[in-house]
Amino acid sequence: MASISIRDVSKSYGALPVLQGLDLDIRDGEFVSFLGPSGCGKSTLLFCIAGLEEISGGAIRLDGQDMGRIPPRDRNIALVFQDYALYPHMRVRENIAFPLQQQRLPAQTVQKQVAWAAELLGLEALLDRSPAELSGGQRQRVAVGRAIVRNPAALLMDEPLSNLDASLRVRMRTEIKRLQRELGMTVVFVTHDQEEAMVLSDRIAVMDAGVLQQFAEPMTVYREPANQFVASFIGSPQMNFLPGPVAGGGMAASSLLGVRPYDLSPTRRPGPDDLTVEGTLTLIEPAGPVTFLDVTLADGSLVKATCPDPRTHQPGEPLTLAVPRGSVSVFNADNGKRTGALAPPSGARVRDGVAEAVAHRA
Amino acid sequence: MDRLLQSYLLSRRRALQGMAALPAGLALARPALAAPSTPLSFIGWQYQPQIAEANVNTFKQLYDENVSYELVPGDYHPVVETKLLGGQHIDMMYSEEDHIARWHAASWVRDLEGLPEVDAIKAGMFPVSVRSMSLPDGKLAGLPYYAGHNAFIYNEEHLSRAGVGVPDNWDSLLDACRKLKRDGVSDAPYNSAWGQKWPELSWSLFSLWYAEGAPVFDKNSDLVVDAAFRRVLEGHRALFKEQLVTPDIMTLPAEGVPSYCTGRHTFMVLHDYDQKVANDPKASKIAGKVRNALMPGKTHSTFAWTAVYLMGAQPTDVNRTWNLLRFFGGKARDGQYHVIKRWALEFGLGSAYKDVMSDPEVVASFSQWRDLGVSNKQVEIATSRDISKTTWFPEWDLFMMQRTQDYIRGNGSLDQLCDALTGKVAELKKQYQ
Amino acid sequence: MSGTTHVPALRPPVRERVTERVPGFFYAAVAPTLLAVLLVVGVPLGYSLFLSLNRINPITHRWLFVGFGNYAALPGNAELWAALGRTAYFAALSVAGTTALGMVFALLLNARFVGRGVLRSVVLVPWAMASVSVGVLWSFLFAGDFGGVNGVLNDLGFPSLATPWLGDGFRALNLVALVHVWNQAPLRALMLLAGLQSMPASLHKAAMLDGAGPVRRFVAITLPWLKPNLLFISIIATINALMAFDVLWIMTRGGPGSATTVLAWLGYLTAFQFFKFGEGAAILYVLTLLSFVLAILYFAVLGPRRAAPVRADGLTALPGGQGRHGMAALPPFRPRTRLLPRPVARVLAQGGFWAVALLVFLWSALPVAALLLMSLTPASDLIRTPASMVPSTITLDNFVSVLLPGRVAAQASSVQAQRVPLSLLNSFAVGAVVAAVSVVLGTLAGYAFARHDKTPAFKLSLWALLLTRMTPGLTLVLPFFIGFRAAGLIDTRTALMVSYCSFLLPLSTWMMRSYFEGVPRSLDRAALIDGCSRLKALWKILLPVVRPGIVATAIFCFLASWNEFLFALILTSTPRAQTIPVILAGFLSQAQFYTYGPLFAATVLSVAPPVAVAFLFQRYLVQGALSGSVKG
Repeated sequence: MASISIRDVSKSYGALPVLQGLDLDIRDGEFVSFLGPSGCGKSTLLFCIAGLEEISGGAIRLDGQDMGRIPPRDRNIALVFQDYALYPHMRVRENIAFPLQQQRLPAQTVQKQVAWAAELLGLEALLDRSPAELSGGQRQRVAVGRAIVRNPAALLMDEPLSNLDASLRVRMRTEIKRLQRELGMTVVFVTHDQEEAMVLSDRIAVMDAGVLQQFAEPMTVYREPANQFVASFIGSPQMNFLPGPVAGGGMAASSLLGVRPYDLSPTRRPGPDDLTVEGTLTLIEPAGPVTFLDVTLADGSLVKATCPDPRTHQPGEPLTLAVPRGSVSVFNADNGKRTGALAPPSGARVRDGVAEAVAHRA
Repeated sequence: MDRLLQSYLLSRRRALQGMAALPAGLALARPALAAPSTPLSFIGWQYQPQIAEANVNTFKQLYDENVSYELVPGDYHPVVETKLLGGQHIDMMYSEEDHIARWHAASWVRDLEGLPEVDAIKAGMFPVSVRSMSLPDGKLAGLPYYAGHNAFIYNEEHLSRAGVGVPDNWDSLLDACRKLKRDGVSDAPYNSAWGQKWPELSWSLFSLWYAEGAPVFDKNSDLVVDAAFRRVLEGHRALFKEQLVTPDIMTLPAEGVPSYCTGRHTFMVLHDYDQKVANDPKASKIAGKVRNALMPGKTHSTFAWTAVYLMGAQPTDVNRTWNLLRFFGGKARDGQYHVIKRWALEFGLGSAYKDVMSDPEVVASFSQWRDLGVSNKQVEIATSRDISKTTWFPEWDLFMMQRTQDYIRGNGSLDQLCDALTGKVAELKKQYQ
Repeated sequence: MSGTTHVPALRPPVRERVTERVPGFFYAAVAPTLLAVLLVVGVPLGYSLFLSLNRINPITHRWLFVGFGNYAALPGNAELWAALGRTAYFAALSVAGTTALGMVFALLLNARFVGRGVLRSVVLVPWAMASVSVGVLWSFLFAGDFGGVNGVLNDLGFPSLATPWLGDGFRALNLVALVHVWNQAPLRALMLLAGLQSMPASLHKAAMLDGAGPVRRFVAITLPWLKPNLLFISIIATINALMAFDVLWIMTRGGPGSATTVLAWLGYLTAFQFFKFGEGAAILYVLTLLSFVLAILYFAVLGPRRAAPVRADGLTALPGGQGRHGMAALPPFRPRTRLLPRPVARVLAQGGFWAVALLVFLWSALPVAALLLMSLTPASDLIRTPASMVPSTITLDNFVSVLLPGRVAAQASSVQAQRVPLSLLNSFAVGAVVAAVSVVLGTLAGYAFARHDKTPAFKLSLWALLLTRMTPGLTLVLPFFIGFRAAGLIDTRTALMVSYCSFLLPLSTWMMRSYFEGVPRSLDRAALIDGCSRLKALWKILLPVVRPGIVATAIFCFLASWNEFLFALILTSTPRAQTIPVILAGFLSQAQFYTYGPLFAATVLSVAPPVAVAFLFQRYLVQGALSGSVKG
């Protein structure tokens, strides 16, 4: 297992910059996600780590060794491709054995290792099938099996779950996490699904347009997003943004307030540390354990709030929504950076909003 | 061409003007008569087709005729036979003499007996040619395109450099070749057309067989494998084996003539008219040094042939077609041998007609590139290939060429070859009964 | 790979039930093609098959029905076995050569580099030339006294290496095979290139990461991927080699001796020189039988394995903790030892790449450059000995005598030369019409076949179409002649157009079918729902999607029509309808060798349009081959 160090890496296609001055340190045994919208450069960065793409500037180090001159073959890195890239003419057994055969290992060792990987991934019954005879989930496992069979220094995964349907995706997610814990592998996981990243990662690297936005633990990224982009990308449903003056107390118009729907609920008696807004209930969206409420505010903007029981409200009803001030993020409207949580009206210290937010989640 | 046409038109006008009996109006109105709507169809092979086409145009103008001229590229006889088999209608066609009987038996051509002036025409031709152009039953089947024979030529400069005389039999031929090669005068002293085509290896062999006195076939159309027959074949094998010929002699383009004209070879057995090309400074590097001699062999005979114009079995109009035939294969209306003489003067093609060959213009022209004394003598003692009157001969011919090529290259024995050839005759005879 | 809606129950992979009723539109779409091929090819085919059951002598007018007697007599025919042996040798050389060379070309052209488009065009040139032109060019290049190859050797200072190339029988056979390979390899390259380009890039990347080097990747990943392509290519290449006739007719005529008498030539001799149509047809149908047997063999060896349907079962639960198998003890990872330092290896690899590219360029372009040079050389230079390729002067006289014969004295010109411009026009007209008709009908039929390939009727007729390609053209020539004569169409461009369409319709149908298979059926359905009739859906929605395929098919058909020789020779008789290959062949039969100059000028002119097409449309041709062969 290895640590990956990315120093000031940039890449351009001609005049078009794709990666700009990225700095990341991935620890040995860590599960890191590269998260961002399509085109943000996360897959490109992944391929650069693997050596399948060249970087224009900066350096990538594996366990301290500069990978600049080293071709993909010699980096001891495995990559699970988005389309799995299983060799179509080989059976599952041969697919998994292939990387070991390239290393010219004795046949017995290869067999033993293949059996281990197959058992680990539950593929024993499938070893004699060809990829065309497998379902999506099965293929995904085979791809993972081929990747881990040679015990690589790092395992890279390029959106491996995006081709699976919802329930399978959730299941596979758990299994990947478990696998990583067991094997203690360094994993870099590319995804555009923020929930996946949140669930799986030790740390998340959020990227946009080739620039690293934030690299931190999931809860930090959730609670204390570095900027407006991260705030709106993480968390589903999306964070509500309200103009600064809503908070009163001399909040400048050049600031924005970010309120997560889960922190915002209708109340008849708001607390002393709560920020309140008034509006009319427009739409009720029951979603199982919680219900989302679409509320139109006085200035016409729409916010989402949550409540435990849909039966207590009706569309058209005037509502007062409240959120603890400590759970509100303040952003600078010009550069989008988060400047902190909302200060309590009484001038007490800014409270760490974590405990509040957790309490509000159903 | 224009020159000829002009002179003919002039002479025609003069002749017409002299015919006081005809009203002047009619005489002038003649060119205004429309040509008949149904064209006569004329098929020919690839020899100077632009001249043939020009002749066709002349005919069209002079006779107010409509002729469509088709040129067959490639293997003439098989292609024409395919078309005839497929039912194509042809009025006049070229042919070599060996297909006359065949096509007549297949009812594709008719004989010319009974047509106007036939007897006079026959009387004016050399007997050997008349025989060539007749059917087995003696009826004349075609009019002559040209008459040719295989001639034996040598490069006199080569001979003087090597100090050898002109060989007149096989032994001296082989010896001369060996000396020429030894002395470095020529690396391939002998040349001929040995390709698997009917005017190439077949004609070359037959002329040497006749020169050696082998009849090849007897009256009953059986193969005669005598000493002369064998000698010629052995000689050919020796020529190839001792590398006295160029190794790709069997795939030489253009019947080996370009190769000879480069000056590489000393001797050649070739179609007599090609000697004109060999002595033409524009086309040959050894122009002026090429002489003809009698064929080497016991009898010095050679193979003489006459290519013919044949009339289709069901001509569009017998009279019109007979006009076409006579214009091309004999005298035109004004009594001149326009087409034939032109072939003779421009290309050295001999004729079956005695008066053409003794025409002073023709004599003067031919003398420039060959020794007429020798060639006249050669024609006198030439042999015509009567076996080609059988319907099966072309098949045997092709078979013979293929097997002989193999033999010459060193495969199989002479006995095997002769047996195979004899056996093929029997097989074909049975098939074509 | 696509997501499934439920786990574990999956929809079966066959989208439509086989018993679904086929709308009338599709029958109507296939009908014209099937009818045309059936009538124009099927009837003569039946007739010639019937002929092969007889012994015919057209001279004695005898017609003897012998049943399978002709075929039964074949095993006892020693000549046949000899010819068979030569055919096998020739075909083996040709197929191996074209496939190997085609692979090299394809790998080369698959890489990205400056000048790739140019190289691709140049590689296609030998294929764009008519086989007649190819034969003419190479028979001259190989000529002993004054041929081009010897000329180059002399000019470069190696006169001792100059040989009469076609003089030796075995060498002649090899050289003719070589010429055939030169002519056919580009087409194989196109098909293989298409296969290479259809390979997902991730496969290569995965293999690279798995530690496989370029050679290993080629053997373990690329070759297996190309198996379906190789199957199709092998079948086509074999049929092509077995039926090869034009090149032999021009270059060696079966000689020297019988050294290049392959089965096709033997059949030609028997049928057309000896006029034994029945026996000749029987010999030629041996070729058909051979093609068929070999096709089946290829399928057995290279064909796709029948895959079992997808089952979502089989996944066992992941074991918690330690399973039965522990991890094997793997040695620590060591990067490969390199023979050479990386920059050196890189430079060498680059150098090697460019060296190969240069060789490929020379292989394809040099002979054609020689052709061009010879066409600009005075005719007398062409027969110099010792041979030399260096012209004494550059002249346009040859082209003048071909294009403007009036300017040249009658003797130096020739009738053939005068006919060149008109024949070019004929070739154009015929090619354009044939391409148009083949594309239109082929598109309709291809669409129907693509959408309903499971229906037995359609499946059968599709294979029947392919089978018509396995019959030798020589067997159809006489029946065609008879038929067209009966219709009064001898010596017309119409006859050629009808004939060529009937040959090319199967090809265009197969190509368009593959293209349509790549178009999702949901597009059809969307158009139908939006209110289009099937025809309108095809016209407005689907055609723009398959446009590259249409262009490629049109180009293939145009080139094939332009280069066809045998039927043009037989079905036409005057310049009114003769196409350029016929005129070129006519030059060859000239007794006058100083028309070599105009011969080469005419060859250049005949080669120019196909080459131009190849240059301009090489992109489409690659895309066309992409769909034309992958699905096989």
